[in-house]
Amino acid sequence: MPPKVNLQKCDGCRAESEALCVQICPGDLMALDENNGKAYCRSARDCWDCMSCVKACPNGAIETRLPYQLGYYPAKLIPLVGSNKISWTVVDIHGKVERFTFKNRND
Amino acid sequence: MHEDRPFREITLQDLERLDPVTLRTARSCANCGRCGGACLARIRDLSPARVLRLLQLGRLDEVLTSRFLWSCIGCRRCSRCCPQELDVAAAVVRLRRLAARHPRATFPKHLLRLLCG
Amino acid sequence: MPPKIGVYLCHCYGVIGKILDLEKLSHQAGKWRGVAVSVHCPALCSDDGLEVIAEDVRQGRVDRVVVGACSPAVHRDTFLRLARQVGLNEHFLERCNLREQCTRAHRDQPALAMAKARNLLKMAVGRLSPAESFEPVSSSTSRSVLVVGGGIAGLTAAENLARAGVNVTLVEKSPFLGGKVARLHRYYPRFCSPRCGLEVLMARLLATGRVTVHTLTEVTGVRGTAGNFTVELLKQPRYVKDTCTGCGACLEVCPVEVAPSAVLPPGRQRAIEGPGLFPYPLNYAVNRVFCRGKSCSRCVEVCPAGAIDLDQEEDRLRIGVDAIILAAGWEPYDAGRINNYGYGRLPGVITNMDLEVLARPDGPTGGQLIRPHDKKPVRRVAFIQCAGSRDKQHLAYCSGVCCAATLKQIDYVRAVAPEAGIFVFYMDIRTPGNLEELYRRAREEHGAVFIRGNPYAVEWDPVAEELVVTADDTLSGSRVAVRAELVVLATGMVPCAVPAFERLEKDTTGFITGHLPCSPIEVRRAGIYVAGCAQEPMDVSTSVKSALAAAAECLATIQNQSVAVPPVVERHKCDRCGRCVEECPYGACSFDTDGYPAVNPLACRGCGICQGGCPLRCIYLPGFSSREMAGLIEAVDPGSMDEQPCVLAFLCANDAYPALDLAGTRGTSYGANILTVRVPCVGAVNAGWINDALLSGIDGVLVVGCRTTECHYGRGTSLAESRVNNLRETLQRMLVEPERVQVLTAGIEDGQSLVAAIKRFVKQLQELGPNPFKE
Repeated sequence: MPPKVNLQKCDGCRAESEALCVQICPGDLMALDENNGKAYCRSARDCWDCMSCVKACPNGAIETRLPYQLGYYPAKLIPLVGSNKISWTVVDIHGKVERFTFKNRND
Repeated sequence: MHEDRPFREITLQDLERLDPVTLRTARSCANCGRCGGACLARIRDLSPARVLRLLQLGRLDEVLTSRFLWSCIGCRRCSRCCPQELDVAAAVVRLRRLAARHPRATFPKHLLRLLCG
Repeated sequence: MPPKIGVYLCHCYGVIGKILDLEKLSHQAGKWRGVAVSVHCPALCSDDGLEVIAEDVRQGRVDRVVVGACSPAVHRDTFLRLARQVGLNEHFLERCNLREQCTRAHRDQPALAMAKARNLLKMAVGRLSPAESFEPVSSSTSRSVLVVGGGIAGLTAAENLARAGVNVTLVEKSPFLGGKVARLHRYYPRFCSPRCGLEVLMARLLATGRVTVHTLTEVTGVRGTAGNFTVELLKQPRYVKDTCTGCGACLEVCPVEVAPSAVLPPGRQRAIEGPGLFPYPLNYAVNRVFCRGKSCSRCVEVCPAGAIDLDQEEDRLRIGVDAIILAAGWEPYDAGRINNYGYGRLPGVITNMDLEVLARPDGPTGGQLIRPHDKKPVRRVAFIQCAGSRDKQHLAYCSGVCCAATLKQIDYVRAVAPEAGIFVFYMDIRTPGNLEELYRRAREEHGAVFIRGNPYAVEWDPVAEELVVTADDTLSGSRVAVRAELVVLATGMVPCAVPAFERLEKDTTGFITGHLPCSPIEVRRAGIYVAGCAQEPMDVSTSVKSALAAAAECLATIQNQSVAVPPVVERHKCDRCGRCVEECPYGACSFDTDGYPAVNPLACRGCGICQGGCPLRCIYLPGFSSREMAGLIEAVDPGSMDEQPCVLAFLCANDAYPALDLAGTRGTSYGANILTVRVPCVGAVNAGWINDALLSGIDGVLVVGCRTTECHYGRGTSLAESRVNNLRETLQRMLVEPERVQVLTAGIEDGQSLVAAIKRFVKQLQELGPNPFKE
């Protein structure tokens, strides 16, 4: 359920300004750990799984687990953001893969 | 017209008998001569600087049959003063191992039994 | 207004026309959306060909142009000139490589070459449709420069710039100008007095009226960027006003005798000092460390011009300049650290610089060659070269000038002591060019004896009261000793540290050598230039040359001319994350007052690393906006490759793209399913484009750049590698094969191995099968 940060990929958005996941989370749940300068979720139970952080991360360092009601492990939902489109890869519990690509106006 | 001082061709084959560390030490030497000046045990035939130079020219036999190798007292002045931080003293000691087996070694033969192998 | 794109295809005198059916291509292109004119010509670069394009633009039939011809690296100026002549913005001109990377490389696959050509042209049209035009940015600068260091390099640079109309502020840490050169007795090659050359230089400098000199001043802080530096200066008090006439009465009455160094006799060193033989400035200066202060005040009372004011205080200044030249010079290596040579411990052991002072007629011995501490006449001098140099325990590098300096000083010795014995202990004599003449003179005319051996130690014989230098003469194989009254150590050069510039990149020697050979003068932080011995050890002539080079580089920055267009920031998209500011290798991107990134056009080198890292694609070089790149990528038809995998390759303009061009020119053949896009550096490739490519159904993406350590912009390739690695991890989780995206590196001559690597990549893609996103 909560966003899981891959510590190898996360670079703390170079700690220059506000990290992107921290900026975009509507619940203000992401923060940078003082010790290692990397992101983490401050309150897992409050996460609504909006996946804004996953989409915003430039390194693709965040993934979320699906709530069990939608599909438990090994089901996955992974976005890939392009210039003017976004693609969702859905893997269900049987391993079947479907991909949905939508155009958006982000360019 | 006659040549009483013929040119000596440089052949490096003998260097194959050297271990890689000693070979590398000899190759890295820039011939500044400081170790030669520092050596306390230098006797008339050679000095550490000269030893390394002869190795560079492939003249291993001259080095191994010299008396200098055996006069080294291990003070390590040569290694300490080398601008390239080469371990010259260790090279001299390693050369002794080869020298002891040389047929024309200036090492007392009856003491050869004291060395293993 | 919808764009009116003109597509012009070139036969290239048959080189292109024989392989591609240009009539058919042209006809097809004419039907694409946005294309108003589509023709083909025998040779676009010829006057007739250019005129075809020019006429269409002039008549308003087209307002954007695609040139399908040779590589964009060829005829660069031809088409740019055309654009300027007809008033076409250069960002509305797109070059399509139909020769080196199409017909030349795919001669044996004409059908596939046609498909590639069609794709490349469509990509060009797709990119041009949403393109924006940009005008070059003109910067206005105040044309002022700071020169740090008042030695010969600093003075030369300041004079040169001032003559070019620039306002120069020159700061010098010590009370007087002239640096080390003012203290030399003579300099080579002509053995004239350095003060003569310095005098001429000062006269010209003062005549410009545009140089403000601050002595006793240090730089304490530097902020800003090229065209806009703010510098904090700290000026120590001189305690002597400008009414000083240089009469020296204060010197006579000063009771303080500065403790003599163990090496040189006290001379007339007091707590107040005058300028010596190079009087710029003329005013004396009080050394407050030694001065007894107002309780003494003898100098104050005796001064006929009332110039001494012991109440002066330090002053802090802040100035704004466009550029900075760092010419802080060098210090001799501390010879006291060479234990075995006894500097500072044994009498009569001095350095090259000490000998310069001794040789001067105004020096402590009046220019006579006598031993400083006991006045014994010197009958034998021994010079020891490489003292503390080329030595891992001291300075590992060679300072280059000490050989020539010693040979010059042998001339001094002969001039005053025709019968003296001169011995030089050396490892190598390094006298390049015509300095060889100094070496010849020392042997033939001065009779110096050269001993090829580095001495282990210098010893003192207390009975004979002389120094003994022993060494192994490696040339004769014998051990030699020289007894001498004077031993001169030729020590190396160490750069002077200026704390405010501590973070400039230095090489292993500690000098600021710059990015050799492409950028030897300007450091990574644009607008700062290095001159003289701050850059690397050099002699006086070379210092002057380097100072002139720095002045020229500096002028190019501060001239009020139009420069290339820097990256554009789309503020409405930017969330001020600051990644571009952080990743720019030149510090050219900084935050403006609203917190949005702003790129300094004078500092930007056009690498595009900012655009490569931007998560929102809101900063970009012209031609690389997200709309243009999306237009380019979406124009690709991945299924048109006749069952071959469709590959999109981004190649850097410095090494990779020319390497592939060269491979094509040499006739090396590879699959025509590789569609290439030229980027300034692979650091400019944004991961979002790679995502677009995969989502469009392109089977594989290659990012080809310079080898990691050879990237012209420093970190481009390593950034591309880490971005692609991050993407590959995500792809793996998404059950898309991460092998579909790869970073390759190549040097400009590695066309063959690059083609081999591309072939291996295509083979791998064939094994993986088509992209899961392909329709």
